[in-house]
Amino acid sequence: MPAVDLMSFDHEAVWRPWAVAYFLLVGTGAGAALLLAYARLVRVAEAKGALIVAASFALASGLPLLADLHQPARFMHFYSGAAPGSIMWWGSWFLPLFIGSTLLLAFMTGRRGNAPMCAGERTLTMIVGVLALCILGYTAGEMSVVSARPVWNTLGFPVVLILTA
Amino acid sequence: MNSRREFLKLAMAGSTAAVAAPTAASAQAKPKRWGMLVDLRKCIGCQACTVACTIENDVPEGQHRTAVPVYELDGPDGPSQAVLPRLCNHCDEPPCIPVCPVNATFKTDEGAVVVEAEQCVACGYCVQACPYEARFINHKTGVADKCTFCVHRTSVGLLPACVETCVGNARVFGDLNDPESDIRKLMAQHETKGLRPEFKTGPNVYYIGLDDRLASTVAVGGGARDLRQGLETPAHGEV
Ligand code: SF4
Ligand code: SF4
Repeated sequence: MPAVDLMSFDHEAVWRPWAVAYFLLVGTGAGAALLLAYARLVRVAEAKGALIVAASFALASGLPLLADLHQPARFMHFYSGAAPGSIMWWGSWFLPLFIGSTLLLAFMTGRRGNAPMCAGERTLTMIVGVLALCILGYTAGEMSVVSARPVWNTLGFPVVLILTA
Repeated sequence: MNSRREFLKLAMAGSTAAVAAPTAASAQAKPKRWGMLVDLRKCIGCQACTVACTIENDVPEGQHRTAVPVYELDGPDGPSQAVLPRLCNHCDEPPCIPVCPVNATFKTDEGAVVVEAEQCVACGYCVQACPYEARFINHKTGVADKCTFCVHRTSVGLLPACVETCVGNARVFGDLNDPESDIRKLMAQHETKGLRPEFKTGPNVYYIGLDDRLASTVAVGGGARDLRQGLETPAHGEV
């Protein structure tokens, strides 16, 4: 027979809908970047559409993430020390690198126009692909290591998160 | 012996010794390791500790560093009331610490888990990682907040506010490394349990008389929260 609560205390959700928006945007951006890297790796297409999606979603994802920090002005604290035991700390490095490299790639592709792709652009595409994997890995890992949340703390959860991205 | 008096006496003796012979004292004394024991047989659910903590630590309305949920449980002689004073367990293996991306939360030398408010970016990761819902983002300060075992009081030889105020002496605070402390003596005499052992966090808050139905997620079928939230299908779990 379950208990009946006579006096109880509520706990509000700490990650607000901003966090959901971030996971959605960065997941879409990283998914598009992976498609882009694959298309260029096997040389089936230049995948400029995927590049536009990756760059714009990557750029947009930073905003809801900052909004979900209750102290957004302190974001520099992520970079003033090292916390390698925290997956979120790794993410704080992956995200600007992913955004920066994707934007640079979009700039290079845009400037080149219809000329053939140079080796530098090809290498940068692969870097963007690897960083997209890092983004997916860290977001999935960040949540699945939290054993306090039974649904997140399963083997299937990161797989589902990556596949939906 | 009255635990408050003993605590003060020990703390004062400690500070005198430290003044008289600091080197000898630090060479011999085993470092303190704070712990709390809650004797549920003595708790009457009056919430004096909840109020004392709120005032002492300026905790905003609707948020709590400690609180005492009250349940009705079925027993062989019919329903009975059960209380569960809750606070941070100052775990030996606290899952809230390694997740912090800016090293804002740490354990003091005495084992209290605290947050450095100026360093905290309030990402809420530690709040998610704590299996005991002991942390929250403070509405006033905007950073992670939790019980500190009243570190500002214990560091000057006082007891935590909740212990000081407990009308039934149900909360006992002391040094787990000292076999002569009240808390250790009581633990030697009684069976004690910690909350949510399945998480292997090594909690340093112990309970005498804890009903197994309250030790892990409490299966709640109806009651105050459901009425408050207007739920149609009353049933939820509480950690
Ligand atoms: S009870 Fe929660 S906040 Fe306290 S030390 Fe354990 S994991 Fe951290
Ligand atoms: S809320 Fe503050 S203490 Fe908690 S993990 Fe984030 S930065 Fe660290």
